[in-house]
Amino acid sequence: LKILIGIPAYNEAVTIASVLEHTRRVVPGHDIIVVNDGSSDKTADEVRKTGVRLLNLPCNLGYSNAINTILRYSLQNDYDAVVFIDADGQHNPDYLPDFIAHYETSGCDVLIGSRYVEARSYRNNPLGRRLGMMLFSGITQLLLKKRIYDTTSGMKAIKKDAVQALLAWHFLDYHTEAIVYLARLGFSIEEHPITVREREHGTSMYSFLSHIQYPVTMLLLLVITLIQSSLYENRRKGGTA
Amino acid sequence: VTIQGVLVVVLIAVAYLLWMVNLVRRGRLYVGYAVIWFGLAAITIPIVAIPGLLLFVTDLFGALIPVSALTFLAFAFLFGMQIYLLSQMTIMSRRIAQIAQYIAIKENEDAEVKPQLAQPAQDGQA
Repeated sequence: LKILIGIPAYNEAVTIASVLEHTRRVVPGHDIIVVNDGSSDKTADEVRKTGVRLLNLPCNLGYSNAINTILRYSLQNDYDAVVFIDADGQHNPDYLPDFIAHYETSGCDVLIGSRYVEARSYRNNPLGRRLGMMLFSGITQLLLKKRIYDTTSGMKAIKKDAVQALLAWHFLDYHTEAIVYLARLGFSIEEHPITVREREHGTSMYSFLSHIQYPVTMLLLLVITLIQSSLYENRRKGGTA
Repeated sequence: VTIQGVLVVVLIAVAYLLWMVNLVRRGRLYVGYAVIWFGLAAITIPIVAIPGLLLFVTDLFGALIPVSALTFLAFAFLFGMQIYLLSQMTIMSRRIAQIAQYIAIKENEDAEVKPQLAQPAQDGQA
């Protein structure tokens, strides 16, 4: 499979170079692309120094648009799949060879690097996050009849067909709603166990307020996602008929 | 509603309409948005100016006094406009995001093509 490793980055100048060097070392056969999402620090310069391909967004468009840019690039350049990892160093690139091997052998459409699929518990998280994870994991169980334990992981492998389906709509952050959307369209989703490191530099994109706002927004989006996935499926069937 | 009240409403409406015409003329307001407000004025001014029509509208909305009916209509319209404008903002920000994405991808393509284009020239010089 022709696989692209996509890394969205916003103000990750401290970590990005080591993440890229490490990634290149463990998966030398795959192309890597970084989307610099209008960082105000030297993220772009750090990427250029490594020689890794860089898509430089002229202003900060947010996580979903950075992901969108990678998806568009992968389609334009005819990649079979995209693997996303975070730029902050929380995803250890050492997991990539096994993750990609699992993806290639399983034949699934979407593979999620999951922090919880092995333990099947959210015990070591702060209460707010634990409740959120339980809520959205429960929703996937309810809607998809299959439990997804880590709905907010940034580490994912997505097949070309699924990329096309994702670009046909717009997503807030490519997490729960994208998973539900793809599963409702019949794409198969699996999880691969990983552990993540604590963030050492920079700040998380999730603020205190977002812990309240996020679940409410997600619930609304999930309802809309269900409608949209049905409409898209109908359109797809209409197109193939 | 007194004649004085009608005059005040009409004068304010005319002032706003003139302001909008000027904004459209200077390219600072899309004519499509101006048309919405012109349409509103075309509906509101007769309702306020013709007493029978105002009483009919008051009855229609179950209001006790004409002022309540007009206030309700104004709020309903403004809420509708808010949603419409937020939608327009969202559409525009999505378009800007898409353009930015294309620029980023194009710049990368150009950066990769440039050295390839430069290569034959260097060979030729050698």
